[in-house]
Amino acid sequence: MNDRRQNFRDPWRFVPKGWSAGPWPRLSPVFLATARSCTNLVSGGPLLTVLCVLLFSWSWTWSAIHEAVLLAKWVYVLAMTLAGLSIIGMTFRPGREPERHQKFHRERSVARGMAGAVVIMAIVLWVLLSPSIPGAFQPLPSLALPLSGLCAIGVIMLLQAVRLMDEMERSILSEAAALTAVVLTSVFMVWTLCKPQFNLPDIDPSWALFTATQVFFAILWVFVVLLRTERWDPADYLGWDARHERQL
Amino acid sequence: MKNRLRVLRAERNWSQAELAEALGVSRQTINAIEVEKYDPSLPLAFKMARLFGTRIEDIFSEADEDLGAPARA
Repeated sequence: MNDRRQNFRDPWRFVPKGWSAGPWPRLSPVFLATARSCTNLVSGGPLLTVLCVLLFSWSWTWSAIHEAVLLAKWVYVLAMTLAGLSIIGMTFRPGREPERHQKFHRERSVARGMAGAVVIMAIVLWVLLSPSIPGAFQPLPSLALPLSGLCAIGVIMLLQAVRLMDEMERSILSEAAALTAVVLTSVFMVWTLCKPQFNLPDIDPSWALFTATQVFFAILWVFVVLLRTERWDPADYLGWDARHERQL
Repeated sequence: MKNRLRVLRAERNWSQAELAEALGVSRQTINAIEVEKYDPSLPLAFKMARLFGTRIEDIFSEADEDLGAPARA
């Protein structure tokens, strides 16, 4: 087991000691790989949108750009859902846990709360952005109650995660939220001022919501990388990566 | 702000995770403090001083101050 964990190329190295039995550890590398790929995709959301625009809208007309952005929306929302579900999957470890991993309880609870909130946000975004629903983002009577319920659960999960966060994690979150507000307000003001001169279209509320989410995650990712000087990695955060077991 | 956290931790042969657990913060926070990317709050600094059995000014100093030099009279 120790030899296996020493091998950096072995994807099974993330499976903690004592987790060799049962089907769950076999799924762990899958969860981990999915979480890593999807969180990178989510944090690179604006880049993804630009790429989609470049790939699918050579004509650079508003309708072509709109279609490309719509495609980016679905990829983005799907990535959010997958990332959140994978992190939740990683945080649940059925059965008796080895004693040495008890200390990661706080990190796991924070990750689970954040990931749960992200999944709920993705579901809500999915419903609101769905082109099959006429007048998306308008409060549809049939969807208002379940959506409100989902949002309430998401807020509770987020608050629970924030309650368990330490001071640096809270400062990163609040700075990212503040910067997102500043960026979005500036964009909104510039857009409104330039609208008559450049004949820009009206701001679509669902598009604005999608952009706000994208900008927030991009800023959050940059803050985490800059402040922690490490690539954000679910495995590292959840204490699964043996590289940080003992840093002296 | 400069700090001697890594040295103090190494003297006691503690890992970042062990120190983080003792202080009730994440390992990433300890790493960020050690590489001087994050300055801890005053309560956390007091907690560190108590844990290492020393004064706050023996752990942290201003960037242009030398932590190894004896205090001037």
